Amino acid sequence: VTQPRSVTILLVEDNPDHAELTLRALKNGNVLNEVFWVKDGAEALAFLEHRGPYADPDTAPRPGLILLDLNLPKVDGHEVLRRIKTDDALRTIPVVMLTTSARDDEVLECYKAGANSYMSKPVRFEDFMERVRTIKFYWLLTSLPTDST
Amino acid sequence: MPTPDGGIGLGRQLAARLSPLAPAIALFIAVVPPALYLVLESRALHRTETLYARELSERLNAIVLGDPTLWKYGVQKHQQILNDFLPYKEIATIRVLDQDGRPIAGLDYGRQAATHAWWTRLATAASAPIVFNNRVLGTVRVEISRWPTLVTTLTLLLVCAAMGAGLATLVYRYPVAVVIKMENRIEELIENVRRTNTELEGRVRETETLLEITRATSSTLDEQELFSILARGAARACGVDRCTIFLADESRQSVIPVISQLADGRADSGMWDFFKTLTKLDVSAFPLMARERFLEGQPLVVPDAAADAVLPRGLAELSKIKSLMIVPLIRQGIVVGALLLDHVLARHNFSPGQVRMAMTIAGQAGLAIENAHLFTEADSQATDLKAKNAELDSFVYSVSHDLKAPLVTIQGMAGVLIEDFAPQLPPKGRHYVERIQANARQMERLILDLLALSRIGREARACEPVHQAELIDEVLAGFAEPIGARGIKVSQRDLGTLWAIRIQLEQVFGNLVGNAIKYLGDAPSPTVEIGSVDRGAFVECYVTDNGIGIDPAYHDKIFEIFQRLKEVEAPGTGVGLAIVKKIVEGAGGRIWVESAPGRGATFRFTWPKPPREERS
Repeated sequence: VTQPRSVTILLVEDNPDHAELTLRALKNGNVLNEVFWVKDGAEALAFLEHRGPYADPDTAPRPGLILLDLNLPKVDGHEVLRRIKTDDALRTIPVVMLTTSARDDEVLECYKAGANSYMSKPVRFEDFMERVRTIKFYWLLTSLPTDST
Repeated sequence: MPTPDGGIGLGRQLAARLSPLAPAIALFIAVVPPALYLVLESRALHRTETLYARELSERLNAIVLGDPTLWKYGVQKHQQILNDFLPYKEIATIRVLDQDGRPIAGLDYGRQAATHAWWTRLATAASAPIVFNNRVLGTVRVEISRWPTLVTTLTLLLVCAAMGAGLATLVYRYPVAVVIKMENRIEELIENVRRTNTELEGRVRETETLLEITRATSSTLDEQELFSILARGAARACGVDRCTIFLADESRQSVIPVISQLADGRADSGMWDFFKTLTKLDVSAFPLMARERFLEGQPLVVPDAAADAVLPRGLAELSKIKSLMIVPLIRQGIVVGALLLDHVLARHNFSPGQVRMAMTIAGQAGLAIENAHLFTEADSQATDLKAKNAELDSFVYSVSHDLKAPLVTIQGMAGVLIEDFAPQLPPKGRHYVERIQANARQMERLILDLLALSRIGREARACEPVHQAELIDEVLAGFAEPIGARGIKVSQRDLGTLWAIRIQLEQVFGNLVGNAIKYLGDAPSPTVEIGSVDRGAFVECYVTDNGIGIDPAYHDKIFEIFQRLKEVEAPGTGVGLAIVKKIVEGAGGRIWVESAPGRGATFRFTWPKPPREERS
């Protein structure tokens, strides 16, 4: 019996340090879902729309959750969010925006554009779990029981 | 009363009146005295004739008494009587008639009366009767010659006619001459008055123009509008057809036409179409005379443009100028341009008054243009400043934002370091990491404050009524811990509603209350009071404490960014009061502090009330 492939998470983050911290937070929280990491908006869109190196749906499966940084080179977070939320095939994917500042006008703009939630960086596991609960994504998480819970 | 020919015509009127009078006077003087003389003399002669006639009749009576019948025939006696009677008497004729009317020949003297001319009828010969026994025996008639009288009368007539004519001439001529003289004087006076009037009108027009220009100076700072008013005003005041304004560049090597207007206020399209194609007009293109005058700041007057070429060739041909005057525009002693005033329709001379007027206007224009220029400069500086401020804000914003990314890494990595390697780290190492984290937090606060500061004024939110009491409660909730720990007595007084962007007002009160708490020092009974006072057009709010106070030397400095009081070790970024000041001033208010060291501090700020229509 082949186990169904777990739901994947797409992390869109240009800063490798931030990406490392985010990935570590998820790993330390025992989130076992496969996380794909792309470094800019254009790459994120290519991944989601199966273009270029991501043409094969096996190497680039449709993610169950997108963690999207706001400040991205090439195509910025706002634009990526807009493209996701106007694409019929993608708009059901929950998107959590990542920001360095909790600027309320930026947050408001993201919500208006259809973001499901947002997190201030650096991403901490507690924050992540809270968002995951709010957007009712927790049942898709593949996790091992952690020491704390 | 003015006559059509301009004079008042008194002389002519008088002459018309006098012209029938003068001959009448002449006639009167010529005729009346001779006539009077003639009549009087005739009567006198008649009286004398009567006397003579009586005397003669008495003498004849003596003969009649001697011989009543033959007295007529005593020729010798008759002759003797006549001889006795006649001498020394200018008797023309004597006739003695008998009772039958027959003349007695011996007593006849002189020529026959029948031959007498018409004029003797003026005085018929006087007669006296010869009476004897109450019977008239005859009549004596005596006649004195009228010739001398007639000659005298005629002479008199001639003399009087001459005198009359002379007098009449005098009567006619003299008053007319006097009146004409007076009239000329009056006309001269009228002319003087008229000239003075014209001059006064000119002055009034000058003054009005200057006033208009002065008013324009204060009413508009728009250069183009100002040029238009100046050009129109100058053309009108100087009585020319057109005025063109040129401005010189700084080196005075070239001039640029900025406007060309006709006196009636229309733009001179022909000239202007040409000017529009010009970016500049080289001063060197002007003939030497015009160039020198221009550079020396002297007016140049050319009544006949065709004779004296003072304009560059192209301009002269196009402009169709007949007469012109170039007056320099002088600003602070430097020639900055020129007014070109010209006649297009016909040649005209320019009076000294016109030149003076043009110079005056040019002086005024120099001032006005300078004002407008300064304003434009100030305006563009203000715009520049605004742009620079906006640029600075966006710079601060993007720098803060960019600083945030590495800070996130530092915070994250420091956290990871503690989480993953705490057991391996010696206490010293942990201390270092904690210091890194503490400083990263401080830096984060600083960055957030800078972001907040740069965002003020770009807030997309709208104003709303904000209940101060409610807001202060929220703010105080954030300071619950220090308030509780220090036992601070916080009071509120007269808090109303302000029209504000809520989050901004929250920042203002948050910072002020935070500062008040932070700088309370060791006051035995620490208190903080927040209140407001209605000042009519605005509300004055205050946050007062009984803390350590601030030296007046720092009262201005504390509102500058990164200025912090060094007296206490209190956490803070040094941006808080700068944010408060920017918000208050952005809303149209003012902020200041009243304080002295050891006497607490009171921060006061004013907050404008909303326009009436927005309050509802």
